[in-house]
Amino acid sequence: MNQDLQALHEQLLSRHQTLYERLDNISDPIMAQTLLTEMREILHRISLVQGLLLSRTSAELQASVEKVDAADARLTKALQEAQTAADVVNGIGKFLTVVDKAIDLAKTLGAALV
Amino acid sequence: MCLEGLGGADRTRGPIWRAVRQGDNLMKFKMTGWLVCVFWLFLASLLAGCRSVHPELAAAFSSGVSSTRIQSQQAFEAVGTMVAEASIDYAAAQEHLVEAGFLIGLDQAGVQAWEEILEGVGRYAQHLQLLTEPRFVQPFEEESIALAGELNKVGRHLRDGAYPGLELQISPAVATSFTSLGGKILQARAQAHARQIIRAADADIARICAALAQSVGGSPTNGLRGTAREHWNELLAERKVAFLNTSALAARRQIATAFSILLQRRGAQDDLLLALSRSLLRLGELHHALAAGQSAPVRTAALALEAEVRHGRELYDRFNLKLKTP
Repeated sequence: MNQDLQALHEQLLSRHQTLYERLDNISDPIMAQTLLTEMREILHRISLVQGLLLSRTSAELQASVEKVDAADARLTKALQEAQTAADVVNGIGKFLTVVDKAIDLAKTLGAALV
Repeated sequence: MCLEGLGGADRTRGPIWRAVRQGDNLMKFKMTGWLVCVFWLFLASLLAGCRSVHPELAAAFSSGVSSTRIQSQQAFEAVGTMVAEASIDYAAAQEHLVEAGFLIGLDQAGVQAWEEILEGVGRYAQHLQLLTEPRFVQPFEEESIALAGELNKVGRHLRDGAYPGLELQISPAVATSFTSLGGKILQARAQAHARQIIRAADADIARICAALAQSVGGSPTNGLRGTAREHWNELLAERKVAFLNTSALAARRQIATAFSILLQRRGAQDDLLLALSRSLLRLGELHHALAAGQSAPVRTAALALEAEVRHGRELYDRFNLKLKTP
């Protein structure tokens, strides 16, 4: 398995799970709906990465996944400080931009066997 | 028959053939000694057989690979259906309807790569099975074939009573053993050859099985199990939001019921994937037992794999039943 993509996959799973759990502490329906929409965005990336787990890796992809690490840390901070639904959308949007770059790169590397 | 009476043709048939054809007491004595040697050789070949690969055990591995493959197809189909549904939800929430927004089940390249891996392991298993089947044994070294042929001839000769002087010294069972000994030598050679291959391949098979099991997921929160779980969580999250937007008790109860059913399905699907992951690990263990060359652990590992696959099939049926339940 591609260790870099495996790490990315686990990061996305963890992020999706965190948002899911966050719903338990939200009473504002608009904020809840926003979180649900953003969860759907992350879930779509989870499915994409799931299909790429047997792909080849490269130094470039490794570097790209490292950038996702940094973006994830920034997202954690952004979600802690988020006051409005727009703040949540903004924070997750930035995170997903970095994720998408890693996914696009992985797609170009093609499939390999384990 | 005297020693001088040996023809040129007998010279080419080897010492065993000549010994049987010769009738003096010295040769009878030698023949008895030779039979003792054959007895030990026979025992040795049986012992070698214990350390080699029995066709039935190689068949158990081959069957295990096929069952695990079917199990993985069923598990993927179940996850794929859910991913396809989620993909439609995702596409519906986008501003524009674009092809890139759709996933037709699990990514096809990934599923194909998985299939190719298990197909490769399956071909390897079939090869082993063929290699250990006596009827498919290919000629090995000429020497062993010649020896086997010679032993067969001796066996037939003794069985048919062609040499009356030896009848008192040779039990029918021993005579029959001659006939089968040649075949056993060939078979033992083939099986020993198969075992060499299995031992050489063991680390690779273990790595492949472990990698596939890992990609299914070592826990509910990673691998394919993680992907499936988060798809269920998405459906559960929708109910949470709907619950928040509803104040009527009856409507809330309905949502809570749907939530409860989803929780059960999430658990059922994770059990299904866990069974697949375990089957893959059991498959690796079965191969390792084959490589060790002892029958009992192979049978135990084969039974464990069979039980795991059966458990997976039951879970799959139960999971499908749950999906049909409104």
